[in-house]
Parts: sequence; structure tokens; C-alpha cells
Amino acid sequence: MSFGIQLRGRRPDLAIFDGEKVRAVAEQAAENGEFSLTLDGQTVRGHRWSDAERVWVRVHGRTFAFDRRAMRTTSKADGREEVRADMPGTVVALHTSVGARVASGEPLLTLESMKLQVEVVAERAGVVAAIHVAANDTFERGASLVVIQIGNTEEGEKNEKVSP
Amino acid sequence: MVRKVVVANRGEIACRVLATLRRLGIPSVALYHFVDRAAPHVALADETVELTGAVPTAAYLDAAQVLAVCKDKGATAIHPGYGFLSENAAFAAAAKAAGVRFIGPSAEVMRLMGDKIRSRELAIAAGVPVSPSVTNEADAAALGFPLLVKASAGGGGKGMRIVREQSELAPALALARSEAERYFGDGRVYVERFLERPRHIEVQVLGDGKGNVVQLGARECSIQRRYQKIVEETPPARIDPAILARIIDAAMTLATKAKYENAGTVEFILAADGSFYFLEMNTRLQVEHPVTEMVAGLDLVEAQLHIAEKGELPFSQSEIRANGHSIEVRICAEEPERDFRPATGRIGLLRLPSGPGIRVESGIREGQAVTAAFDSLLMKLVTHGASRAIAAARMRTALHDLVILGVATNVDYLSRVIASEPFAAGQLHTKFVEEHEMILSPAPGIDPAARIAAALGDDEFRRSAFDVPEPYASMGAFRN
Repeated sequence: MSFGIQLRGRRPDLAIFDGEKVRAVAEQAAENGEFSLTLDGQTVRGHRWSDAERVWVRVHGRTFAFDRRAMRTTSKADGREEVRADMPGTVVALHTSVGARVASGEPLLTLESMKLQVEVVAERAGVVAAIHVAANDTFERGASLVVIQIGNTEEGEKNEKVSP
Repeated sequence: MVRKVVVANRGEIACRVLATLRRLGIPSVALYHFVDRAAPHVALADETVELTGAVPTAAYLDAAQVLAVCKDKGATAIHPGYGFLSENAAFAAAAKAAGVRFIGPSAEVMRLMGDKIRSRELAIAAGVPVSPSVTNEADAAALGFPLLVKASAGGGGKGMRIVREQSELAPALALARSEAERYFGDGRVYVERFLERPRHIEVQVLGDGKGNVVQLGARECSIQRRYQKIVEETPPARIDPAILARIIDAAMTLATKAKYENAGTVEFILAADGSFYFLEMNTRLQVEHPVTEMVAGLDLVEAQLHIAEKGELPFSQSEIRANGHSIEVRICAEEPERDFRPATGRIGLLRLPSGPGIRVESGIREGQAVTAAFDSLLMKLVTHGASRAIAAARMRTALHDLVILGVATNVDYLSRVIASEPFAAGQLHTKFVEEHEMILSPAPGIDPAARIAAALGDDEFRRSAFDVPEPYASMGAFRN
């Protein structure tokens, strides 16, 4: 199960896209394992614990464990977003190609790590600037997989000349 | 005279026994293996002694070391808890020979009632119904399939096999014999009819070893996974009072006939048609003893100490009153969604529930590693109320408020069991977990609040949210 969490704004509250919709989030407190948030005006209290591998959250009487080593994307200051592997794995399938325009949420590639398949989606709309892997390739932790030029520019191919 | 007690166990039951010793002002000695040096039971005792062993469990099973500690520390009694040395007749005999009181039945009673074949023979002689059973392959088929193969010295599902047709019988017997040999050092097995959807009903008794016995009511322990109980209650959920009375009578007859000594439990299976059969007797304090304490308003460990010391019962049958209903759940480090596979990890965060009618029997502390070295039981939650519905509502609250983060547990699974329709309706049987697999599965999807809280618990995301000027950050495929 995968989902994308995006920070879309910071003032006055954090605007966080939770995979389904953007929510206004304010952190009231976070200490001693307890946290208190306001989520679209509603107060949510719970408990949280992080270890090297997972973030554990108990909220509304249920406990969730999130794998910290799962895939993560980061944005670069130059407006390019790099999809990077946080754990070794294999590329199962590519769903896009260099130069393709992708919408937010559109699948980029399917990976398999630790026997689990994960579909990696574009966090924001843009143009695929580079693809560094092919189907059936294996990759190491930290490897750059896909680079997306954020926004509606068609400059992706020109800006990024990296062959797979 | 019980002057000092060695508690030969660990985890929640060692804590439980030590709590009573403290309350009564009886000096105590805790034993521990190196891996348990910071475990809660060590902190509750007046004195502590480290045991050595090739593996941690070997230390707690080492009779010679335990008796040496008794001698060194001048202890006059041993409380074995459950598991480990608790049903080891040779150990009880060795303790007696060393002049130390074993808080439990004598070796003779343990040999008689702890052996499934001998206790069965006694039950037949006493007129207590037993499930038709045989010990050889030729007669087994005549009982009619399905059959259940069990280890004579067994318990906890070890050496147990269900056989549905003739061709499976010989291989099942061979496997059960080798498993029984490996676990219990006793390869004897027997075969009985396998009842579909039976209930597990058991009776708590106390005996003085001279033929005087009292009963403290019946518990229902029908909700099981991997042949091990996970939810227990007293009185049984929904039962014909006439049948319950007959079951309790049968338990009393058997315990009296055996001249049973100290605390014990007579287990029965109850078929859908109301027929019931003696299953086995557990010659020790049970994991689920607290539910009986809650409705009877007494301390079974104290009663055990009284019997061990004075050789007489602490109260008569007419002094025992049952009040309300009590439920216990066993909190285990395991993954219910992966066939209840035991889980390991570290208890990062621990918050215990409290409130009226809520009792916690815990053997863990924050920071403690949960390894595969021991049983997966972490703690028990016990609730009490005037009615079953109140006890169940309190259990829902207790499970909701219990926070154990850092290792996978069955807390949320148990919440779903207690909240389920069939549980509320008291429609219990030993296939409850399998039969209701669908309704006991977690709701699909991830709570958005959990996703957001998790992201805010990640250092990188926090930096993006609160430190970095660039207001763009995203976390990719966070997986659950």
C-alpha cells in the first residue's frame, strides 16, 4: 500500500495533500510520544514512536506502522523533482517515457522491494526529464530513478541529458 | 511456614505473584536470565539472582539452579507460576526432598492429573464423561472421522493433529509421536473424536490434598488461535445453567477423587448438543486466573500460599460469592494479519489503560526488547462489570487506551473481536477466529490522520515543513 504525502503550503497552517485531498494541518503539541494536531479544524490526539525502520502511529484506537525506507521523492531547488530509491529493489515496469507530460498522481514506474510491489506516482505535474532505469533493472539504495521537471515547461529533454 | 518465596518465572506471571508477596509482606526472590536483567519482575522482588543457561529459557527450566538459589537464600517455598517448572513432577519432588515447599500440587497428584491418559482413566472411574478415545491406529478408525491426535504429556497444541480421513492417520500419528518426544520427552499419543465448533469451558478448583475441594466457578476460553486462548471470561458467555451445574459437579467429583491439592483447573469441551467431555487438568495457576479473582473478589495466589503453608483451604464453598462478569484478553507480540506470526522489536512507547473495572497484568516496560527467546505474551487486560455487556464495554475502552508502539501486537485485533456481533451475542466456539476471519480483518485504508502524523514524525518532512525556505516537500510511497 503506498500513498503520497505532499506539503503544499506552510502559512498560516500547513497545507498537506494526504493522497486524497489537501488538509489544513497545525501541530499543537508533540512531546513524550504524544501528539496533538488540528486537521481541518478537528483536534486529533494520538501517540507516535519512530525507530530506525518504522514510524508507529496510534490514533483513533488503531495502530499503523509506516516503513521509513519506502520510496521517497524530494524536490530540488531548480524545480526538478528526483525520485530516489530508499531501499534496493527491482524495476517491474515503466509507465512513462522521457518527454512525457505527467499529471500529479500519474504512475511513473512499479518497483519491487522486500517482496512488495510499489507503484511510484508523480507527486506533482511536470515533464519527465530523465529515466535512469529500465524494466528488470536492479537498483541500490539511493539510486536516482526518474527526474521530473516540475510545471508545464517542455524543456525537460533539453535540460537533462542523462541516458538510462 | 512460608518465610521467603523464590518466584521461578518471568514476565507478567512473575510480576503477578510478586505483587501478592509484597502485599502480604512476604520476602521474595526473583530469578532472571541475563537478557531479562532489566525486566519488570526483577525490580519487584526483595532479592534477585541471575540464572545461567545456554539459551534464556534453559535458565528458567534449570531445576538444580533454582533449588540451589533456595538453599543459598534461605527460601522456604517456590512459586512456579505457569509454564517452565510449574507442571514438572520431578521438580516438585526434588523441592520437597530439599525441604522447600512447592506452591502447587504434590508430585504424586501432578503425576496423576497432569498425565492425560492417567487422568482420563480416573475420570472414567469417577463417572465423568470423557470423549471416546484410543491409543492405537487400528481402533482409531473405528471412532469415526474426523479425529484428533494428541500428545499424552502435551499442552498448548503441541503434538496435536486433526485427521479427516484414513490415509492421513498413520502419517499424523508418526508426526505427533515425534513432536511429543521432542517437546515433552514422552512420545505417547492418543486419538479421540474431533468435535466441530466445540466450546472450551473450565472449572477453577482449590483442594487441600485430603479430599476437600472448593470450586470458584467456570471460565469460558473458546476464542483461540493456534490452539491457544486469547480471550477468556467468567461466567461462560451463554450457557444452560443446568449444563453448567453438571460441568462444575464433574470437576468437583474429579478433583475430590484425585485428592487434589492447591489450585487447579479442570478443562472440558462442550459440544453444540450440550454433551461435554473432560479434556485435561492443569495442575497450576492458569494464565486466565484473574477473571475468577475479579468475580470472586479474592486473590488466588494468596489462597495458594495459604494451602501450601497450612495444608487447609482458606475458605469454605459457602463463603465464595460470584459477583458480575469478567473478561481477559491476552496481549501478544504478533501479527494477526500474517497468521498470528510472533513479532519482535522494542517497546518504544507504552501507555497503560486505567479506570473503573480495568486491571492490567503487565510484564513489560518501555525500552524492553521483545525477542523470539520467550513466549509472545506481553501482558493481559482484565475487566470487570456488573454484566457481560459492561465488562465488554470496559474492555473496549481499555484496548482503545492501551498504547504499545515499536512492536506489532494483537491489540487492534482484540478490539475487533470484542466489538464483533458474534462476541456480543455470546456465540463462541473454538473456531471463532477462523470462522469470522472476514469480519475480524482490519478496515481497509489508512487513517488520513495517521498518514499526516507519520509524515510529521519524519525528520526530513519536518525540516521541509518547518525549516527549509522552499515550501515544497513530499513524501513518496510511505507504506503500511
